[in-house]
Amino acid sequence: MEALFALLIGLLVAAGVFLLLSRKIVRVVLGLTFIGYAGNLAILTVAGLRELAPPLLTVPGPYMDPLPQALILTAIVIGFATTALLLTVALRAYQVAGHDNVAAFGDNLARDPQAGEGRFADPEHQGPDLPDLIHSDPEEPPEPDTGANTGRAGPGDREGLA
Amino acid sequence: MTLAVFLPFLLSALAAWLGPRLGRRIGYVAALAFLPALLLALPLAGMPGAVPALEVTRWVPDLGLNLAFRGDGFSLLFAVLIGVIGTLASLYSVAYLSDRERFGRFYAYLLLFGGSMLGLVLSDNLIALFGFWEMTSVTSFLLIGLWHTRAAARDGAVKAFLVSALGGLGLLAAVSLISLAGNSTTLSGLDVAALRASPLFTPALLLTLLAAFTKSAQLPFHLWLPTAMEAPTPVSAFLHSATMVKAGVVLVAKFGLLFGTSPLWSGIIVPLGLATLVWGAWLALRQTDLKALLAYSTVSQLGLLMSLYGLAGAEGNFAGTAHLLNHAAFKAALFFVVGIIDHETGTREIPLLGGLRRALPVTFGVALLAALSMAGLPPLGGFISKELFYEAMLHQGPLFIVVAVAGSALTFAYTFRLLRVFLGLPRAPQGAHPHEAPPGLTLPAAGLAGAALLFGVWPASAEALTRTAQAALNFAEYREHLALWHGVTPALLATGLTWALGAGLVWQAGRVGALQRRLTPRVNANTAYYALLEGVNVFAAWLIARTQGLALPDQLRVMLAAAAVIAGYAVLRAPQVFHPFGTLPLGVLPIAALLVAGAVGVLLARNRLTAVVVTGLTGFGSAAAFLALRAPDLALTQLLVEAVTVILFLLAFRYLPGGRDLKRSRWRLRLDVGLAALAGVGATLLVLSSVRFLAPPISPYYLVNSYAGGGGKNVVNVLLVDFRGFDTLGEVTVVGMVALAVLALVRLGKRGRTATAPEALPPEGLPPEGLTPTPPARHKEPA
Repeated sequence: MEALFALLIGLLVAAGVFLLLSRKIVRVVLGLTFIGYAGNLAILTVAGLRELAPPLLTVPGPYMDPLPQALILTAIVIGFATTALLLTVALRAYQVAGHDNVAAFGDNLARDPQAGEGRFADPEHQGPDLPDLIHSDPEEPPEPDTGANTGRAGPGDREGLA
Repeated sequence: MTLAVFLPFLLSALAAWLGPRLGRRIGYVAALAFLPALLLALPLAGMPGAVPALEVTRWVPDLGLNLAFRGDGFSLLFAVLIGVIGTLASLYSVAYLSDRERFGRFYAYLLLFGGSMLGLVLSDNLIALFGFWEMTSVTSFLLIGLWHTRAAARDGAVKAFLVSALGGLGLLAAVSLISLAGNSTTLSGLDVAALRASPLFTPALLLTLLAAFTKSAQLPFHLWLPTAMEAPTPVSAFLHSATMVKAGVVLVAKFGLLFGTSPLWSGIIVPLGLATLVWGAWLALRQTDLKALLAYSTVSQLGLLMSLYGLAGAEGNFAGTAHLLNHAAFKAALFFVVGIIDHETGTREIPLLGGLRRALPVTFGVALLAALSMAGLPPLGGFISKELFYEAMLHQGPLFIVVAVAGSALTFAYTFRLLRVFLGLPRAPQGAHPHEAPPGLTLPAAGLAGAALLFGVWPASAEALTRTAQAALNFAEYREHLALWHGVTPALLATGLTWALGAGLVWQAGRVGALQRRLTPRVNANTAYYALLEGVNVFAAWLIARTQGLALPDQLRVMLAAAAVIAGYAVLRAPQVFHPFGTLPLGVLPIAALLVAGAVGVLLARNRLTAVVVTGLTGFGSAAAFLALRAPDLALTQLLVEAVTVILFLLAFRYLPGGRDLKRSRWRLRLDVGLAALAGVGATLLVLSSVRFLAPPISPYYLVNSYAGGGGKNVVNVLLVDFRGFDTLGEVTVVGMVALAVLALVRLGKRGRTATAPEALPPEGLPPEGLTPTPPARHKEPA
């Protein structure tokens, strides 16, 4: 029976991953839901599927291991909560961006390693910190920011998911 | 001892708090922190005979993680040394720092460093030793980068940290190997015979050496010490003359007792130390900045110390300890002198200065004593310890003594280069009116120079101090005495030769300088360091740009592929056993069909409502599975949650567009199918290989105690609310936070900015749908 469930779990994970990779935001959320199902079943399967009584003391034993069940119970509730959050974020992202194409959301990281300074792919990278007002060395005036990497506009939609 | 280590930490918090209120006066409080360390002089005084004290603060005794401080002669000697220099540096800083300095920060860092250093020398526990070692790296990073608005200070701090943290990792590995092989985590409790017989001996030895060489700036790693001079001068005096850089020397001295039997130990340390001695001195001779000169001189002197302790014999340990004391005295004094010069004239450049002996007579006297001790002239301490050094090297062979003489001659030469700022015609930068420094600056320097003189004219004082370490470093049987005059010995002849050579170098300074300029190698440790750093930067930028700057699904693909590689390797390593299906209970088959139907259906679903309903199919299927697998609570919860989830999706769909997927290009589709299939196969194999290790349940406790302890017959419920109630509390908190977040997102505003059709996209070559500025409530797709 474990083998059967292992196969089923594999199938659910495969479906979940495929959905996760799609570009439509709702399907991404659905994909995570599927992976969640698979995870819950996997915990139970890994703990062993025996022909024992459920962990209710009202029925005669021997009983199943209650610990994985308790874990899954928590996981179900948390899974629901995260699904709700994801769905809301998806909704909000759609409202802000005006479309629901995950691939087009983009993040604020630069995509061009050769651009600008050439050394920082991350346009949010700050240059050396600005000179302090209190400078401790009397001999040397605070050096101005040499502009080692003053902000350079990153490509892509920087407003995408503000 | 425990107090000596912890008081600086406590007072550093106090200093950070009081610093802004008390201003520079906080320095006096800071000096108090070293008082217990100074009081360690009392046990030290009885030392050659007294039994080492051991103070253990138990923490995790099962793992051997105790805070153990062991006050043997060598550790105590070093702790007192740190205490003395620390106190002097604190007091000196009070007079030295400008009014605009952030005293709270400065003294907090200084005390943190002092405390870590004390912990490092006193610690008997190997793990704690590593901890304190790393803390010295971190705190010296903070101290070097104190004036963090200067690029040079940042560079120096980062360089020092990278190099010494590399060594720190080596030390971590080394102490792990040592404690594994020696069956103990305490230095004094190690089974030395087992360690020496163990195959881990050689790796541990090499790793220890890596740690010692990086910390003590030995040859390939000497690059960080000169740039570390960006720290304020009192800090340099503290870190780089007496304490931090000597940590490596301490390590070599202490671990020499373990590793010294191996020819590899001295075979590596001694030549490298001598090479560092010569090369450091050669570089020191080239510097025009006084502090840089001192920095390279420290590198060179550390090489000398290393080569002595690296011999791991009685003679080397005796000579090394004697020179350690002398070096701490004269080098700290010289740093203080340079600080005074800097303070009075505003520059440290040798060519800009001259004739300062008239304006700064007292400082000149101090500098003269300290510098002559460094050059190894009688009647100063440095002379005596240099004689011992020659003696030790004479016993090693002719090549060793030649190198030693060459290094010392260069030392002689750069010492006079240093003293040149006091000689000749008065010269100082415009606007500077050098006059004698306040006593707060002069007295610490004078005290140390006095010690250097005392060690020379009254060698018994230095000998008494050196002898305190004899039990700890195994040189009790060594009967040599410190004295200015041993008669005409080969060592004295070598000294004469050194002076002649050194004088020649001073006399021909111009030619030497020209030669040095000609011999400057194009590739040195610094260029290698920067090339490496640049390479890492470029690689990181390339990697980030290729993996993280992508569209989100692509990024996910990269992550999944990486996970597949890692997990795949793990699954491959674990032997697979396929359980037979066996006889399947008939009741399970419909459930399996339900799950499969959901998974397949959602992939085929053309519209979002279908997709959600079909997802619900899987959800209810898994609820049924829970029921069949004897987990009624789960089934109930899953049913409820499933219902709410479907409602949630339907609610959200009022505002979200349709469910048909955007088209994927063909190769991307193949890639995705491949990845999904791989993930599925991987999950299956993972479950199967886990099932293989099916262990007896770990939780019969709950079954037994559920009714007696929790008063409930549903074990799962009792487990959640009684036995593991805090988990449930955490879970409830998560749900609550999510509720708040959802509310915030929904309430954030009915609409955000709508129109942003990105130009750089789409990455898949297809125009993304729905990119027109559409108010979300009126999307075009049919529901």
